[in-house]
Amino acid sequence: MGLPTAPISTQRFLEVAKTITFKKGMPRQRMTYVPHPVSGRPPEVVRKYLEGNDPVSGKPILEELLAALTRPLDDEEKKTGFVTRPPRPRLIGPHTPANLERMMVENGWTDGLPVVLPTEARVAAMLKGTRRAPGEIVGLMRPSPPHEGWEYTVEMVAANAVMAGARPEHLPVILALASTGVTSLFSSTTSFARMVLVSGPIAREIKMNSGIGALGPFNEANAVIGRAWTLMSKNLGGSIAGETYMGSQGNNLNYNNVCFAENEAALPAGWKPFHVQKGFKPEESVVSTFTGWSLINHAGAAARNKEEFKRVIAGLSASGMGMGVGQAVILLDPIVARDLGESFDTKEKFGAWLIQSLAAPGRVPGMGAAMEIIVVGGEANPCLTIGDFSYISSARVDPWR
Amino acid sequence: MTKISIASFSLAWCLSVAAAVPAARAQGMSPSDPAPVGTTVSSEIHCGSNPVSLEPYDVKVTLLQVVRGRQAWEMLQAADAAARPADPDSEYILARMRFELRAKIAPGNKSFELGSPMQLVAMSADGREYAAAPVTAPQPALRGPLRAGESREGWVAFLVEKRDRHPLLAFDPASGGATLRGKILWFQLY
Amino acid sequence: MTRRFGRAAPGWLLIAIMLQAPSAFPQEQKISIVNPRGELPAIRLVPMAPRLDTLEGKTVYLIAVSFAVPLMPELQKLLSERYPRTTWVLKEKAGSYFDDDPKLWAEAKEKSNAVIMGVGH
Repeated sequence: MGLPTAPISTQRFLEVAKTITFKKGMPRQRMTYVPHPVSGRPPEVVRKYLEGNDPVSGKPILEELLAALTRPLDDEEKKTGFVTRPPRPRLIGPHTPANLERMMVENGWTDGLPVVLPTEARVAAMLKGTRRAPGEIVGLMRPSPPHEGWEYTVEMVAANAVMAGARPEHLPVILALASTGVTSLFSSTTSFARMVLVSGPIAREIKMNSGIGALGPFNEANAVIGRAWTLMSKNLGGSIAGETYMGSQGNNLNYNNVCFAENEAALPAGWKPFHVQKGFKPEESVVSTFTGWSLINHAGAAARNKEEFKRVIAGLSASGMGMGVGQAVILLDPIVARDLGESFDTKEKFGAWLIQSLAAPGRVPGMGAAMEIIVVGGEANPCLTIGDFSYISSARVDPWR
Repeated sequence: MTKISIASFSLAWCLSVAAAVPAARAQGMSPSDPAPVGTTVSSEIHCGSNPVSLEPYDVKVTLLQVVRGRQAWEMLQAADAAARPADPDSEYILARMRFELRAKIAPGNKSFELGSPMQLVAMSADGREYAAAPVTAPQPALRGPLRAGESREGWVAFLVEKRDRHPLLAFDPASGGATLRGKILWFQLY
Repeated sequence: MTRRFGRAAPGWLLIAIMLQAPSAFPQEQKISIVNPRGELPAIRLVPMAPRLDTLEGKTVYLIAVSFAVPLMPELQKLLSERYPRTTWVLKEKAGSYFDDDPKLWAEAKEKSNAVIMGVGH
């Protein structure tokens, strides 16, 4: 705007403000802070804050704001130019393995669980999983739109894949995921979760699980691909708790990011695999990402007919999950999908019926604007899991083989 | 197992960091290695207004031509008869550039807005940013939405000190918007 | 031969286990790892806009961003009471804190001399 501006924020965001103003090239930004929070506080409490002192600087808030707009700039505040960052070393060490492991944990480079140290030998072995050159740029990732994006190469992704415990055959999927630039640790205070779905031939090739326990800790590929995304989001995407990640409670789904494959063999006749619905060919291998907050399981026989299904979904919608943002991913066990397939010959028709049903009078607002239907499970229970997730994007895996 | 203090570990880490050599980078990625005229620099930018995620796009930027001094002034006057002449110590530079955009992932339906304020800036050789040139660039100007699969060429005007014979041109995809969208790319504005 | 192998079996088993274990580094051995961290971008310094000599007779926009909405109306009331020779105009930015609002910025540029922007919870 070219106008003198005085930002005012709440004290809890002191570290975030310092980080953002530094990375946006305004390290001397004249911030003023009030006590935290202001949301939900009555006007008289907020007024008292404003009549008092800045809890960070100790100065009277009103005077500080006016000074921010009128005190002449000093030389530092007038500076232009660019600040280059310290050079990034390709290798770290040499140190003992124990010290390297401790360093990684204390620096926030892991998910808190033990990692496999990415030695050159291990990374070289991992790189056999792709024909792409180690120095090739894969993408840019940031914790959320205001933050800076970090750039990364095939080798850097491979290092994180090693840390996650992945094998070379998993690397093309992990590279495709990295190429989306989507972080699994989005910075919002509401604590987002992510979901990752692998579709097409590669899911079978690397033995991903789409049956019994697919969403649980029962399969190597499901586990390491989801985990690699979290590690990449920290190490390649700059997610740092308290600085660029502000999820107030965090989200347990972030450990694995709900990584699974669709049970394509169990799709009812006419129901297309998810990636085909998004315009890819059936023989293409694709990784897709979703964003939301939570999953609710509905087990049992209640979801076996249309009317009961409507009641289940409306009830979940009324629970307020996802803050009524009008999005849903419905994970159907094959038993339920088969039953629904008798009434709806495509996923789209089922989704449209659901949206229309929820639009009826008395419907709880917020649920139904966008529905993604995915079939997964081992036919042990006619259950469904509904997530307040929405689709973000998809990337082809094959170019990364 | 030997345990060392965090302080001495950090020192040892710093020493090992100093000994390692970063990998070589393509031209145009830093102000110390700006891309010369005619070189295409490839990078990635993120586009879209979706607050949850931006989509990555491959962008190719080429500085096609640099025109300076009298010739630049004549072109500016032809574009706008009311163009303001430069101060005695300054002169105009015109740069003709090309931008190409390609989607990396699906859906790939976003656009990148060319011509945001201070998106393309001239920098002095000693690292100072020049103020925007107070003139209208000749047509075609480099502005408007660029979509995946499209290419756009156009002119941009700069105002630099006359004695600065080696200014740089910086393309900052983040400029003018609320979100950081990609790396800064560097060109030789001479 | 079988008897000799049988007696040496625990030793062979131990060697086999050590050869299989992928992370079996002797703890005193020093190793290097490939840096798993990404490349940080250069930072462009943005000069701050020149400040005002005085706020008297000036117009200041008070812009509320998303969750900071409860803060700004109170700030406007207080500033109007204490500094009546300045015009304090309350505005709300469109969308969430991620969303740009070029219309509001253009309006602020045209109609105000300075901005106080509230961001936070």
